[in-house]
Amino acid sequence: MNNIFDFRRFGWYARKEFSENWKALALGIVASMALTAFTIYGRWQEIHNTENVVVSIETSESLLVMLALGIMFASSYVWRAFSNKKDTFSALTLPVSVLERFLFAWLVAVPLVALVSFVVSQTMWSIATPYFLRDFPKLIVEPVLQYSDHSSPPDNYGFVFYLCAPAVFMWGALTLGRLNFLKTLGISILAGILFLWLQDKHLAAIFPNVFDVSSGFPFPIGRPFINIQTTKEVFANNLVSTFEGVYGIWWIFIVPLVLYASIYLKLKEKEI
Amino acid sequence: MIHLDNIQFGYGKEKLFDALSLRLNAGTVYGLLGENGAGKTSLLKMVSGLVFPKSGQCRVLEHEPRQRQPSLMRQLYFVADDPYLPTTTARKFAEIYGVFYEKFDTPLFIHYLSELQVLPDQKLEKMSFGQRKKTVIAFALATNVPLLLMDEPTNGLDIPSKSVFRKLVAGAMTPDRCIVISTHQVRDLDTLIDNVLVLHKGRIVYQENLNKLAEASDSQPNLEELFQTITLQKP
Repeated sequence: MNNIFDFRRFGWYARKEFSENWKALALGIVASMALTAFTIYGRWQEIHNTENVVVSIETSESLLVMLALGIMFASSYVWRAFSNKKDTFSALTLPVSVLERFLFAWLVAVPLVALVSFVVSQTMWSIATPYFLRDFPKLIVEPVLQYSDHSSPPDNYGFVFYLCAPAVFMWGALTLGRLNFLKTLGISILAGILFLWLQDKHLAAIFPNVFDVSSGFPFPIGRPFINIQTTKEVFANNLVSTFEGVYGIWWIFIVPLVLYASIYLKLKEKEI
Repeated sequence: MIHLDNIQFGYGKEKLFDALSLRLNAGTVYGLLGENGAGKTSLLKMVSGLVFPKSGQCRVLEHEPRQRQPSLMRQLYFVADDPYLPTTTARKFAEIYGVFYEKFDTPLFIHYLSELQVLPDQKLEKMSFGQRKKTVIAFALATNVPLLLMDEPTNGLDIPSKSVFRKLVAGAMTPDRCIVISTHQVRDLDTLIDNVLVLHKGRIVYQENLNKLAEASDSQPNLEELFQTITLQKP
């Protein structure tokens, strides 16, 4: 018997998980549809009520919000068994390997959520678009995916959230017990604020004589930038670092890998 | 089947087992007795890989339990004192979970349920604690695994069900199977147990075959008296 991975066993496990959680999955799809419908309604109101001419509307905004929320909720939910002792007991005594458990959780939290979000968004926008075009024939309805506030094409930093957020919330589900979603969210926000504060202090120390220094959000969701006002209203924007490649590799490849490896080991060594 | 050698274990700085050694073999129903907090549940958890020893060697069915390999986990079933059950029916539960155990016997499971007077199509979440426990016991016996661990299985069972439980466990016993029942309700199980283990102050202080004791004294030994005598002798 293969103790690492067995397709048949993985299938049984997936069947068990889906049969026990189909209500949560259905609720997630309904929530995604509601969110997309709310966004479509917002756009409809916006272009019908404004006096300015709206040339284009972007359909990917609701998709990105759905994706972010879906990933965070799903990553926390897939291991909800570990939030109480009784369920943990049952989960750990089930004859399933760590890899099978981990792989199933990841597939649900990342690709499945992305697929569901994409299908829901595409379907609902494709239903709504003809109505928009009926009233505004020249309107451009475009599914532009833009992760950062730069005018450059979508950059890779969006993947940091896509890969790291599931790992962070899975880690929370494994270690923080009850209400782990809220606890993880709280810890992440506090860590972000602390990081931002330290980053600003650090920049102020490096550039002591400038009028003002500001930087991007600490989490590397967008391309890193430093905004320096040497004197009032005189800017030196977008300082390019030769280390940006290293920074990108660190956040996009190494950090998620380290997080997932630590989750795998934590799952392997989980005790009650 | 179960080999524990010189096991040290505790929660935090508190020591629970100190140089605990134990050998359990197939074909026997073991009764694990001990005071509250003696570590009966922890011992069963260790055997099933849910807690890990600080030192010493623990081997179960030729596996190291802390690895929780599927090849081991499919050969053992642990009936917890307050077991988890999903929100479904007993029949569906068997259909979804039974596949993980190679020798799971669905007709036998339905038979055990009927003996224990549990309806297979009733929603598990609407059952009483005792009925849920009976469902898990029926499932555990129907898995036909070589190692069955039961933590206070008669807790929550009514008097007729305790009698049925004894009958079912005795009937499910085979020479290649080992059943370990942890309990402090010794009167419920004294006719079922072949071998008694007393866990006291972090060690197995007594391990004896009850049939031999019965032969020696010409009567069925009283487990409650035996337990009190042993624990009083070893303060």
